[in-house]
Amino acid sequence: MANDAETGPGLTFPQDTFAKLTPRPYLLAHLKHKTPVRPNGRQQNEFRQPTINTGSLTHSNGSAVVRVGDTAVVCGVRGEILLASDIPHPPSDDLEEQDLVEELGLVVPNLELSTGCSPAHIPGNPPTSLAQSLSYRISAVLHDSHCINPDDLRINYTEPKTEDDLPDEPPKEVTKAYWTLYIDILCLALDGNAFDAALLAVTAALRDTTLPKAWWDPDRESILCSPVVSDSRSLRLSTMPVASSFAVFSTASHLKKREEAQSWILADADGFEEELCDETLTVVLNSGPSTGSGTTSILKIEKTGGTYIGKDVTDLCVRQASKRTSDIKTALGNR
Amino acid sequence: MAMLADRRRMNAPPGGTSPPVFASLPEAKLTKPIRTRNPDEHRKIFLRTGVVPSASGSAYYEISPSNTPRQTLVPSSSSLKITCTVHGPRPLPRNAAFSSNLLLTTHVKFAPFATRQRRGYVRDSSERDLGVHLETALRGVVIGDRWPKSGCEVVITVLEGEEDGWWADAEEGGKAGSWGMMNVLAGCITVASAAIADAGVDCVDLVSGGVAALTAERNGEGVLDPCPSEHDIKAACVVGYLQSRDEVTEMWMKGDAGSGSEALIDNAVKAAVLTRTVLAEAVKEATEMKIGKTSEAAVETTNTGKGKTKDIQMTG
Amino acid sequence: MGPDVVNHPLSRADGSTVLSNGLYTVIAGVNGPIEVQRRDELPEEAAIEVNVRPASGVGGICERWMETVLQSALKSIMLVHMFPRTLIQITMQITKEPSIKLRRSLYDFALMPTLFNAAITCLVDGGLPLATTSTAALAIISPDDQVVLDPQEKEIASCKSIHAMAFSANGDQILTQSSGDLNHEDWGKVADMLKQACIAAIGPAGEDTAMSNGVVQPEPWLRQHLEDEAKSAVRGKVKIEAQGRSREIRSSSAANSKDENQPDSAT
Repeated sequence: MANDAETGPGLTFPQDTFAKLTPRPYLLAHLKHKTPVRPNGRQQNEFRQPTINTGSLTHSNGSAVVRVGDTAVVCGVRGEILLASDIPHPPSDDLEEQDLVEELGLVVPNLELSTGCSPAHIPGNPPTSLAQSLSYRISAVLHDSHCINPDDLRINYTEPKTEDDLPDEPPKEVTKAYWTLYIDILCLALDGNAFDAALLAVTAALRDTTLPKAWWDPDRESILCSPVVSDSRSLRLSTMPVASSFAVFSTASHLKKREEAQSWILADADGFEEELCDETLTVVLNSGPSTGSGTTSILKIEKTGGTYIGKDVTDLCVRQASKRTSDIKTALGNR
Repeated sequence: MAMLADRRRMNAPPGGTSPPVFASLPEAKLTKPIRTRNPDEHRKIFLRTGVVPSASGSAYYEISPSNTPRQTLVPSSSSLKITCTVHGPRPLPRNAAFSSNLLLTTHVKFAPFATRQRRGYVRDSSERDLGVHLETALRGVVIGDRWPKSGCEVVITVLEGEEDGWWADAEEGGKAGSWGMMNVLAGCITVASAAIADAGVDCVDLVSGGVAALTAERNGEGVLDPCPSEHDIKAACVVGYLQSRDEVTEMWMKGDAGSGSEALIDNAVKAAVLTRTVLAEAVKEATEMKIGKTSEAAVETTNTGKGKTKDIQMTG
Repeated sequence: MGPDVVNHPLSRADGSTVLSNGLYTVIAGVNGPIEVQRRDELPEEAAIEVNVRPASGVGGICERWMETVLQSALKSIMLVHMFPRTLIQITMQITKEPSIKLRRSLYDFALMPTLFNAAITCLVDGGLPLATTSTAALAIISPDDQVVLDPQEKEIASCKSIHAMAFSANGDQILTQSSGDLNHEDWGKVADMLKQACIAAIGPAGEDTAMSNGVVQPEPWLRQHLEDEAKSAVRGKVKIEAQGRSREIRSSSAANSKDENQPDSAT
């Protein structure tokens, strides 16, 4: 396919034309080369390095802008107050403390792709299936990792003693309201692997989040907040989930024999590669909040489409993901 | 409070939530910001094109925030942050009616966290209104008849909007005309112009947006680029202005300017001239970079044969 | 031990099944190949559309996610190239769900294998060609680190991690959805056990897969079901769609024989 001698006035055309005309053979030619390199210049297992900026949005309690290659995601976290008296079905007492955030719906992540981030997503339309799946997956990771401590979201009130109370009884503390975190994720530019970038933006924004000190005002019968910065406290994430996605480019086809198929795993696929890959694997690792602390455990392994990724390949990818996770944590920690 | 559930999104808890109410504490004294720059001085603008590689053209516009350290959790003012992407010109769908001109569509949306009050996900009337204003500003600039049967989408996301006034005034039941919208529109015009130039759509000139206002503080004297939280605005005007042709493609005036309306427009044009220098600079820079790249690429393609550049030859 | 499958409950759909196991009951229907909307049309293959309807209310973002996952999993085993520029539409309605309240993600993960199996059986019923037979199964790791296949709802509610996986007859992993607090070794263990369970469900009974370290092997319910269905079709009980049927028998028997993955090129 590649011609090494420029013979005659044959019809030669440059790389990007080749890529646009026949994307599949173009990627295949790169991967089959003696020194295989992906068209974007990366190695097969090479992730794009993220750049992370936090705290740039004025009206958010916490925010982050994450750029991974040509994918850019901005995330803003905003706290609003849910009065306990407004909850239609109060959680039952046997509910486990760590499931409270999910039960009450105190974390509301929404991802928006229709911002003109790529020509494929028409602005003004309701979220596509892709956007909805991404929102769901982000909320699942936030809930399953239990990274947000429900105590950080409670607004408690110590009831004053009444005459009916026994004198030696300790004052009763009740939760009057909860902070609800609206996590809005806007994809400003999309070049593949929106999930990894979006989750990174969410965790970075949550780490940046500070909530004002809030208390129950019995006279006004409402919650008041203190505007003083020194009174506010930051959200302590108990764990930090990091996602690493892989795509599989395969020549397998139902029209071919099984043995003839060749497959390559591409870490952190860009938009061009994503178009050509049917099979994807996402590994979410969960670990302590700071660099080097705590043990890393697997939170999620999600694979769909195709038949290449089996147990061995997953093992390999989990190892790559754990390396990736420590890189990300360093990037977040050094900020 | 309970909103209708949107089944395409994660919804707020069924009880409904309300934004936090801040107590007025003596240790967190709020002072209204004061304008420190001259009346005819524009705030610093940051403008860069080509921020979204997958789009035909794109630009990012920011009015740098004032660098005062935050004493309170309540921001005293906010600045503008706008991104714009342009898709096209691309062929219209087959079922669309014939059009001899380029069909320009504009779309303005605020991010949910763009303003003090959380914004909804669906475009509201003010956002649609901004879209229409922007479209009129751009339509006179683009040479539409060079692109028959084509469409071009201009998509703007406002990451952070200008405020309509000093928020503490508004809270006390004071006036809160939507002055911030005017600054947003001026920003939209400038950023869209940069993105359209980046997309390589033929234009007669670069259009730039400018705002001027009449304020209560200086009787009669207007200010350029008013920051609504610093002023008590009586009337304001925003224009989309083509400097080299001395044409105004869009004008939007609000408030009671009385006899000063002409001076107000002149001031808005002056502000547009100021933003134009930034705009022209950004577009020029981007173009120079592009030219540099193509000449580099040209050099590269002549050296094919080795390296990862693979040309394909068609035979037969 | 396998799920109960009722064939062809819907007379107007091309293929349909009711599949129920201890946790869920799902009615699945398939129509296809049918005319496709222009914007979804694919020039070289059939488009697949999966709709999941929850037991109550209208679907939300969670159903969209399940649809995307199932759609891409099914696409990899369906012979979509045989019907270019058409649509294959699979709709699944959940009619029974666990009686106790499960956390959202546990609920969804537990549902995944039921939906997958219902989709497969209804595709067979509809006579749509598959490259291979495939089945899904559910497992959890209990708080005391035991792997439980086909868990009860109480066991799911208290589990440490939950795993839904689908395998084809030749052991290829079609789908993996694992969630919870787990480590590398445990995941490998679960994957092996689920693979065995899935292959056992497809494979002929009494073969080498049946005995393995004391774990009770589930009966080959899918094979049983497919054989029954093939028999009833041969008997000519279903006269309509006779052509579609014969194709299906061939494709399902081809999938069950040793050299899978060879599409039945005869059709």
